[in-house]
Amino acid sequence: MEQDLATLAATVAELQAKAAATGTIFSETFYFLTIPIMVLIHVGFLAYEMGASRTKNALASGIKNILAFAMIVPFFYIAGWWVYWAFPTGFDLSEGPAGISGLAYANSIAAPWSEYMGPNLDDRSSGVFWGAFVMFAATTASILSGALIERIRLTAFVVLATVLGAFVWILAAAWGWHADGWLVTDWGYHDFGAAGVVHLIAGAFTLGVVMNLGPRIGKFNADGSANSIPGHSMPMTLIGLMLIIAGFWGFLMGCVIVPGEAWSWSGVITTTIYGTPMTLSGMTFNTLMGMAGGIIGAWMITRDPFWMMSGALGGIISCAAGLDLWYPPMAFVIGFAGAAAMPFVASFVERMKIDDAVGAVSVHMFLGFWGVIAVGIAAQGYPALSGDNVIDTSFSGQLVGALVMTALGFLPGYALSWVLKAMGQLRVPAEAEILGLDKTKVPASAYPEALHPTVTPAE
Amino acid sequence: MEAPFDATSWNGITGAIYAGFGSSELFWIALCYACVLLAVILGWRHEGHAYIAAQKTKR
Repeated sequence: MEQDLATLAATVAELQAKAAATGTIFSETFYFLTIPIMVLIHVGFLAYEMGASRTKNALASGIKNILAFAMIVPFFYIAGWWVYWAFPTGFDLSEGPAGISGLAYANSIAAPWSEYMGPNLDDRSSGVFWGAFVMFAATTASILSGALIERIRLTAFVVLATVLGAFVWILAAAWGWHADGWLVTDWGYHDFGAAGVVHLIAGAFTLGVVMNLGPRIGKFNADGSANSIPGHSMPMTLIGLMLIIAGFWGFLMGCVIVPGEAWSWSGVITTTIYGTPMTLSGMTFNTLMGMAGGIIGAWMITRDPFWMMSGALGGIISCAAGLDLWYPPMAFVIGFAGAAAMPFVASFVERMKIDDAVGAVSVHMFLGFWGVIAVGIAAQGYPALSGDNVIDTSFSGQLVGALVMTALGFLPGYALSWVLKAMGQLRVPAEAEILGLDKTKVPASAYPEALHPTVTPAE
Repeated sequence: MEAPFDATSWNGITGAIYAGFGSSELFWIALCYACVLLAVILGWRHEGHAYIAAQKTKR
């Protein structure tokens, strides 16, 4: 009998060890897979930007996009990941109530010399988490990239993209996308799918930069009216936008915390980054309904395939903050309303003499803001964190979060681009812009045997 | 529109948690399909005008 019990205990222990190993490998693989799926976002941005450029600038736009992606990686390794864990409670580097923030914590897990910042047989999560966040960071840089095509200096763009991707957005994420973030603990800010901490902040940063960068030559006439400057390949742009949508699923996977690990919020259910319960199933309902609402809303207003695909993205962004909470027809209406308003915002931006080449301000800043506020309007009263007696989501909390994100994005973008402009380092010379950036500095040709460059009437 | 429960903790909460659960589903379903209907009606008008314009151009 005693021998049977001992055998049973050994078998149970063996099964427990196997179950734990399976869970660990599942979680490591889950986040690992978010990375190639999120790379699709960058495939999409690459195609989208090159297609939105004229033939004379197609490759220069591609180089800008590719280089931004690469530059983010080392800077996010050296600083961005540490910023995320160090600053949730503000600039005093103190530890928050969940005990996963502050100077000491950041130094122990995220400093570049930490034992967890490289291959470590006792750590199967840091690298894949870091990789997923690098992809978020590169997304912010790509949002910036599209608006600036055809006239920004490559090195100026690299500086701006690095500051946005490795410092600015991740500070916002520390404040509003972390269980110790002060916007969450003090205001109940809820932003499950990063409408504010990625889209709004990147769009606001972009607005600050394009204000200093100025319009492309030929965009505006002497009387103030605007010319359309069509890109050389609308089909490439549309496919790029659809690839961004495909990559969004990896983005949203990266917003989920899987159960059962030492660092998980729960032993049995998936949660948001705040530790609140959610399901992949619920997120799927709302993502697809929001996307559909966005496409239909944009089609209703514009009939333009570019805006329809931007509407698909905009519909998801409109719903992103509450993808874990919406009733699906509500997600549809939120996406529909946001995407229907988006073209009007783009027109308003253009009337302000701002040349946002791909509508990044309307798609990301405006709809990111709308997405955050929508939670405050239609999803109040949810506990914002795990644990007992926690703060609830509210309109005031979402409004404060949206305003903080707007300021945190716009001010550094405007200030840094103003400095670069003052140094004469922001914009390419007019002669190079008219000749085309590919012919000026790219040792390759996009279409050596076909297509002729287009010019605007003003040129 | 609010959470379908009044709580300051997720402990013990199970089942449907979506905003407006049990109170406003019909409203949102109606609004959702009203949006679709509006878009289709406007699209139908736009398409009709475009065809008429094309026929006039040909004449």
